[in-house]
Amino acid sequence: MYISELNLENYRVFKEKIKIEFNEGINVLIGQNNSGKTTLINALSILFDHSSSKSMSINDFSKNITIAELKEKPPEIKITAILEESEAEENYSDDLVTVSDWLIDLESPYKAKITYHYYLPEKELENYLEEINNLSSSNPNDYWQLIESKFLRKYKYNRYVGNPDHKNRLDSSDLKKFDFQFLSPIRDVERDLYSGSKTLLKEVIDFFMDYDIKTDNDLSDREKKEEIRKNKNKFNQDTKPLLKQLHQRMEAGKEEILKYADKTGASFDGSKPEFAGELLDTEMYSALKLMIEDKTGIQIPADQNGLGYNNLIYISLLLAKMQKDASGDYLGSNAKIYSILAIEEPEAHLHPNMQYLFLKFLNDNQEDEVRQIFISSHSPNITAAVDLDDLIVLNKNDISVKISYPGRVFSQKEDDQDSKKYIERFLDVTKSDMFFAEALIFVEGISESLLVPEFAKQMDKDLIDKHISIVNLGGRHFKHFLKLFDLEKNDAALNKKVACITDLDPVRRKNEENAKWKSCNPFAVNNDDQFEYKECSNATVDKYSESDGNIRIYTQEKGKSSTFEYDLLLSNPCNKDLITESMSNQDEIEKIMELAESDSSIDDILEVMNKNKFKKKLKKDLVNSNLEADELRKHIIAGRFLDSTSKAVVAQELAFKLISDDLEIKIPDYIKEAIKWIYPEP
Amino acid sequence: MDLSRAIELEDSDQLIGTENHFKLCAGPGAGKTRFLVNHIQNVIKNSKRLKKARKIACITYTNIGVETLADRLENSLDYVEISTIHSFLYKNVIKPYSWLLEDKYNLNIAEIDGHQDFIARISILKEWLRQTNQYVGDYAQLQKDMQKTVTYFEDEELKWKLKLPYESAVKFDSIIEYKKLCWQQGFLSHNDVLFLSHKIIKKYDEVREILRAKFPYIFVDEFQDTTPVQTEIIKKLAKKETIVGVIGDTAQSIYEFLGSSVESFINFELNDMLLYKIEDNRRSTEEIIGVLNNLRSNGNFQQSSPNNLSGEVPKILTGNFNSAYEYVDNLLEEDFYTLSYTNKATNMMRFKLEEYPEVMSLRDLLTEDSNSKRRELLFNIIKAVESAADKNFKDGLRYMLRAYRKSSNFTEKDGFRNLQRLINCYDEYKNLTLKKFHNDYLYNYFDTSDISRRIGNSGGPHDLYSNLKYNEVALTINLENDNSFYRTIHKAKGAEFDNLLLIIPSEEKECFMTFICDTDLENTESHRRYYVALSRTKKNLFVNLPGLDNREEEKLEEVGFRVDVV
Repeated sequence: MYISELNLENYRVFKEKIKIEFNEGINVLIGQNNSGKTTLINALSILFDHSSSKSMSINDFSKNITIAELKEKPPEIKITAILEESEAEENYSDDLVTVSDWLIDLESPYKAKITYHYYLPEKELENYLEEINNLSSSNPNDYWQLIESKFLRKYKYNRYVGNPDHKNRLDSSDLKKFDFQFLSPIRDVERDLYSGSKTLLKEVIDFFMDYDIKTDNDLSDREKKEEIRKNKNKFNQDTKPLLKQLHQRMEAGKEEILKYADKTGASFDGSKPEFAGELLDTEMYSALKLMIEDKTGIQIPADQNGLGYNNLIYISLLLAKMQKDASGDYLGSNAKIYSILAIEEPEAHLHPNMQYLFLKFLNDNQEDEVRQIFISSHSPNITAAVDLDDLIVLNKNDISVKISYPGRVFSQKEDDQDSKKYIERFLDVTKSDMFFAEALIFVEGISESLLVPEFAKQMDKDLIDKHISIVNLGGRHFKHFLKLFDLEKNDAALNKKVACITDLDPVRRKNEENAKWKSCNPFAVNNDDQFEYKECSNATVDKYSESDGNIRIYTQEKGKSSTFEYDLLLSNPCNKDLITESMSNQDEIEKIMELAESDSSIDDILEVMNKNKFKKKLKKDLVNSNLEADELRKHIIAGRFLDSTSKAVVAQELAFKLISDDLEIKIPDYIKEAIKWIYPEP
Repeated sequence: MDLSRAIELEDSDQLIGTENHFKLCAGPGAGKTRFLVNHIQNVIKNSKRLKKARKIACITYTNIGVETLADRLENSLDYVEISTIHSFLYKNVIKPYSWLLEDKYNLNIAEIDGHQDFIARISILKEWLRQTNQYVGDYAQLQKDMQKTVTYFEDEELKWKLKLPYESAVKFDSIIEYKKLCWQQGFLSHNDVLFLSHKIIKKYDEVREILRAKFPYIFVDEFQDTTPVQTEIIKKLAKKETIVGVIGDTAQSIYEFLGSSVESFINFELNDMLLYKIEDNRRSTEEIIGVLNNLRSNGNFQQSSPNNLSGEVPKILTGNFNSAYEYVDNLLEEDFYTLSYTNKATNMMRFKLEEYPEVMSLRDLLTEDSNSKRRELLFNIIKAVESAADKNFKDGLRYMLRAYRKSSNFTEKDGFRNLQRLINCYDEYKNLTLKKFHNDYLYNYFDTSDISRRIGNSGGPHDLYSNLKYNEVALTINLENDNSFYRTIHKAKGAEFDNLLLIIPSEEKECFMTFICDTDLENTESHRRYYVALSRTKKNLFVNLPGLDNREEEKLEEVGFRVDVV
């Protein structure tokens, strides 16, 4: 059995009825701040944590309920969970027994339902409508204030099992079979570990005390209790000499203390105060401190450990406690059947490497101690470490929240499975950012990823401000990643705008058998019959060209340009600032630019160019071109530039120049368009 | 059932295997409860099938049986669900799964809240007759008759009929339509629970599987009083996974009038079921066991006292029952219990009456009131007060809450306070008429506006309730859990007393003497009834008979009594 579904209505950020589906095992909830991750975990705790408060505050109502709606009827909150049979669940399972009264679907896989309903009782309705309709204000806060001051205390909650229409109330002993442990991001580990009468450490020690006896299958319950009692007695006897020692050491002092008792009259009638007592083993647990012993044998107390380490220790102790609570051998029918662990932002105190280790640990322990895990996170490390199937992405748009399941975007078809594998393999920490950003710009390489943000700034649009991330896919494998966002194909996809900035990369091949495609100058495309040409070799470009959805492809003008750098120079043909120190052929390019600026002839330009493969090819292409000289000059510069910028460092230098020198550069049109589209309207 | 082939257990402490269906026959005083407690603990200790959430279902016949077992199983209660068959089925079948039949039977599931026997509203009856094209003139009679609906099997199909005697001529086939109308309003009787549970369990394999998952063991005590429906349900569950054990005594089956049949126990058979018997009687003295054995002349079942307890010879006291009572009272220095068959005789003993007032039962009485809400209010309040007066506060509170079920603001706390109030001024109203009781002690306390109005100075309710006195009506009350010293034989089921006086009024004498002279426990329920009565006592047994001739005295002495005139 596992919690397969949660439905919320009017609860915090979720106004519209919304359904979130969960996986068996690990669920990682990710999304921007305030997208509802914490709310989901709270909703689970309201349903499954028998110690959680069931009352709501005024702020638990969705503030998106309109005044008109408030005037029509009192707001109410509904939270529902569905539990579903696991695929390989054994017959007559404890799980089935636990939710047997909750069932709404008996056939396999069975489904059970629990509903929380927070509402204003029927008899208050008339009063409510009168008061709320007497209020005339256009400020929603006034209405909420009225509800809080006059009606909130009259609200009631009910918990129903099965079909809520049948009004079958929850038997709270059913709920005791669930263990809900919640780890908040901010916690005082030391306090939780050591203080209070029932500390975590004490509970764990108590459980694992005499563990050999408790787990001895040859002993009956009564015999186990007897054995443990013997041990306790022995401890009690053994501590007597110690107490006697204390008595002896107090002998003289006691007289002194009790002298006052005489004087105050506290001892009358021959009776007098005395010190006595015994030592129970449980009282001595507190003497056991958690020490961390390092390789050299040096011990340091746990409270001097780093926060992160202590958090791991805390979690490991918690898991030990959960194991204890689920242990049927020790607790019999009081044992927990279904344990749920909810962790908010485990990254808060954990180093990225530890985040990864921690997740791996949870994964390994998931079957035994903890049956279902919910993690809310902002951490790309965690996102990168888990399977795509485990991810649940919350994306808030205006007043509604869209839930996406990246793992479900992929069908069983080979092509889709390949994409999924590809993504899981290449989804590193930086790329994981795509799950957290508001909108995305996919680029092919380092140059775009460095320069596009700077272009945006030039346009007075700060991408970081609007949580627009640039993801460098390091190549043209857009199609795999784009499946994650293709809402037109799959409703489970992520609801984000994605602008892909990609290159046309025109190619040609000789008209002979087995000829290979080779890149070519854009102005040469279709100029002769010796070659077969493609003005665009990039499949992505045409795939999404018709789309008016959330994915748009931005690329150079077909037949006129080829790559980012090429287009940059087409737009800024004579800007010598674009020539950076690590580029090759700097002098040559500079000369060409100068000649171009003075409208020199093509032949003059060819004259200054070094003799090489590039020039040879160029010459041929020029012969067949019927472009004006003015255009051709630009293409020569752009082509030569592109041919000289193979090193990634050139992009960095360019970016650096853009930032530091306040260069005036004309932004390539397609990039301008991309930034305009992705950037939210003011 | 061939008892000669039964495995004889040493005593009730002997353990048996946990993974076989079993049937145990054990007579009075054999320690059936002790056996059951031992067996349950044995299962808890050794079963590998209980795991963490599964439980042992233990079904007993009465609420007293539930409490007795719960007391003795105190440390193991986490693993055991003890209940009567009705509460067991209500909790585990009706409540969670009745929606499966929601449409078929018009069940108003949100309104159904527990089960109790009720008087149908006239409006329901009228609607039913209209729908089914029937005519009945006397609605009050019909109301009485419709309380006698019982189920029976016709070719494995469970159907409804009326139990004799009834007067209204209604088509049995149409009773189901009447039931649907009641269910639509949320009314659910005890028999309805059995009927609907059987329908659900028969139709849905998933429900059977869930019940098997919940209860890998089901034990039924007092199985001789089980009804055919109940037996069918148990048999269906026992088909796999669930191990069933039944315990009973053919000679103690006394609930035929509620549809139970001793054959259900005799013919109960499951795959690889083991048959056991215990012939011990640890309860009674050898003198009493002697009488019981003489009356139970079945060669395969003769009890003996394992500790050779010896005591006084059981005595027949002839004469007036009040003098017999005084005689025993003077003779013994200890408390003793008085048993009789009818409510009437029991109440005459309780209230020390020479003559019995002619009143109908409370239910019948109240059918005269056409206001069903007031009817239910009075009925439940009187039951609540009488239960509480008998120190049974749990039932008292239960009836009190039921009385105000239709009042929207009545809380559990209110129920407790109201009960306390009515007990405190009991002496003030016990001799008043029901009208005064209603107007001065119920009306205007708490919120009765949804339920009842003040009874005026004329009209039907005035005529009815001005003529009934509270204490006369209270007399007819039949409390489910009777803890008093004066009980009916049925209420003494499962109980044991140190000393006992059995009252046989003149109208029962002939029947009792046939029991003595011509015992037929197998076929005559009245004989089994007296057998149950005689076997309740440990030390002293007295039977009061109005008068005997010599031949009768001889017969009684032959059986093992000594006859005294008081």
